Parts: sequence; structure tokens; C-alpha cells
Amino acid sequence: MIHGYRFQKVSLRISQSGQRVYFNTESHKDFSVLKGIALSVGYENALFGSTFGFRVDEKKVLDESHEAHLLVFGNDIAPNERMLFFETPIPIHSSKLEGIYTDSALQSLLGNISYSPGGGVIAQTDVNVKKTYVSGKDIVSYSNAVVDVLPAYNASNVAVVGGGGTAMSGAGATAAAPPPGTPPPPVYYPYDVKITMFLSKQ
Amino acid sequence: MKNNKFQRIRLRVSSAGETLRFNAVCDKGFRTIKGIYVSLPQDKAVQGATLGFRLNNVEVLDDGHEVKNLTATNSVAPNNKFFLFPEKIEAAGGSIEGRYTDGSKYPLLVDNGEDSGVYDPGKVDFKNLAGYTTNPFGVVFPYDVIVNIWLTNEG
Repeated sequence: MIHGYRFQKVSLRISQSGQRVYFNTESHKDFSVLKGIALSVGYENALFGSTFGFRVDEKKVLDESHEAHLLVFGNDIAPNERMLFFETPIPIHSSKLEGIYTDSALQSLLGNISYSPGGGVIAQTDVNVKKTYVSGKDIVSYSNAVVDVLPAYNASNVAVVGGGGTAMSGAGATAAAPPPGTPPPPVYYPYDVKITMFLSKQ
Repeated sequence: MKNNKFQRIRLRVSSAGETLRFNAVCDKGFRTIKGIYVSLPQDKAVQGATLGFRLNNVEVLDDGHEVKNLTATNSVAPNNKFFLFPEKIEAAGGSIEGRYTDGSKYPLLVDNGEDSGVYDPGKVDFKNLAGYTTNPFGVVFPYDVIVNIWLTNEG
């Protein structure tokens, strides 16, 4: 016998600056609706700019640029309100649940040059981080940003490529120890992201 | 007889990453478990801590359930502090088996070396704790955790 609800969880470990982590899992077979979702992120500083996309049976629920901080909560919130509850619960029957979390720490590398002379509005398709973390080859590249002031903690790992692009070794960004007197990096790696999905039988 | 009772289970956590198993029996004078609230004396101990329990051998919260979801600060009104279960959990003298795991090893996480980033929480994924046994990251040991279980006859 099981109860009529379940908090199904997926844990992700973010090991690199700018890392994207994809997961897919199957909803528990005994539950028929997905009522809500919440994220729990290890470090608050990791939130700004981080995104989380979510699909159920290949249908988009949250697009990939959905901000992660819209799905988290603090301890100042009543425990029963710490979730994004869907207005209409999503029907599931051993459904495929997919998500993709993108770390934002590259945000600090965007620099101070306006990307768009047309008013600073950046099209959703022009997300700056193009190459994702693949098979341990942690190459992250920028297409639209010019980095002119780099944080000291990863400066040694950044090489400027022509045309305003920048390539960076994500591994170095986390491994290099800051020189004495340098402020600590805003995000510490690795950190965990826990996704909690509220399943119900009705 | 009163309709509500807050039954408490007190645990003492002595070291970083410690897992405590506990057993209790619900007061048989109350029919259902309405909610749960976990009280911790240090904010830093909340991050990464987990609490799961089974009632009469049926899972109520899995072992990876974050304590973060079961506690609240004093900014939350007293009537909203408990996590209320989405359905009535029949209690009436049932036996509870629970497991609390301290999360203060959290800053010692290591890359699990897997490309996907999705990891099995059962795997060992912390750095060696040598040298961190006394007071690794601001959590002072020992500390006590009080698990408050709200039993009721209402509804």
C-alpha cells in the first residue's frame, strides 16, 4: 500500500561554471497527476540567471530559459507553499519527465559592454552560452559577449578569441585557487540542485 | 480528550554527516497524522539535512526528503509552520521508523565524475572528512533536532 501522494525527486550535481545538466526520468506508475514542482539549490548565489526547463511527455511545461529562482523558496515561506503548483495538474501515466538545468555563473563574465545597440533587449535565441558541458569536455563559449574585465579567480583560464568571442575552460574556473586578497568566487562548486515533483493519485 | 497532540521525537546529532535512525509509536488516542515540523537549533544545519520516515512500514516521506521542506523560520506564522500532509495519514498507535541525516558535510561535496550530473544519492560523494570532524563549516556539534508530529482526531 502506498499513500496517495509522492514527492518524486531528482538530484543534480553542478560541477562546472556554466554547466548544463539534462535529466530524464519516468513518473511513478501509481500516480496520475503532477501537481507541482520545486527546486532546491545549494547556494543562493548560484541562482541569478540560472535556468530550468521542464517537459512532460515531450510537451513543454517550462521553457529552457525559465529562471530557476522562480522555482525556489526560502524558509520564511510556509512549508505547504514551497512549490510552483500548476493551475491545472498535469496528467501523467508513467510519463517521461525531462529537465535541463543551466548554471548561471558565467553571468559574471558578461562584461560591461552593451550587447545590443538596439536597446539592450536580447532575443531569447541569443543566449550567450552556446556550447554546453558534454562528456567532460567542459568547453563553454560566448557568442555575443565581450569580456573585458575578468574576475581574477578564473582569469588565467580565459583566452580571448577574435571577433568578440571568448572561450573559457569551465574546469579552471572552479579549480583555480584565488590569489591572496581576491574576493572569493560568488558560486562554489560543486553544488547540488534537487528537483522535487509533487505527484498525486487524483 | 483533546483533539490534537504534538508528539515530539528528540534526536542528538553528534558529528558531521551522521545518520540517526529512530523508532517511535504514535499516541494511540489519535487517529491521524496531520503534519510534521522539524526544529533545528542552527540555520546552517538545515542545508543538506534529510529526514524520511515510514509509518507501519509504509513510506510517508522518503529518506532523501529535505529537512528544508519541513521547517520554517520565525517569520512564518505559527499556524503555517507545519508541513501538512496532502492526505490523512492513519496513525492510531502506528509505529514510526525514521532516519535523519545531518547535512553539514554539504560544503565538502565533490564532483561525482559523471557526465550527466544526475547522481544517485546513495553513492559516496563527499570528500574525505579527515580534519573536519569537529566543526567543519560552522555547524556546532552536538545539536538536537526535535521532530514534531501533529496528531489529530479532527476531520
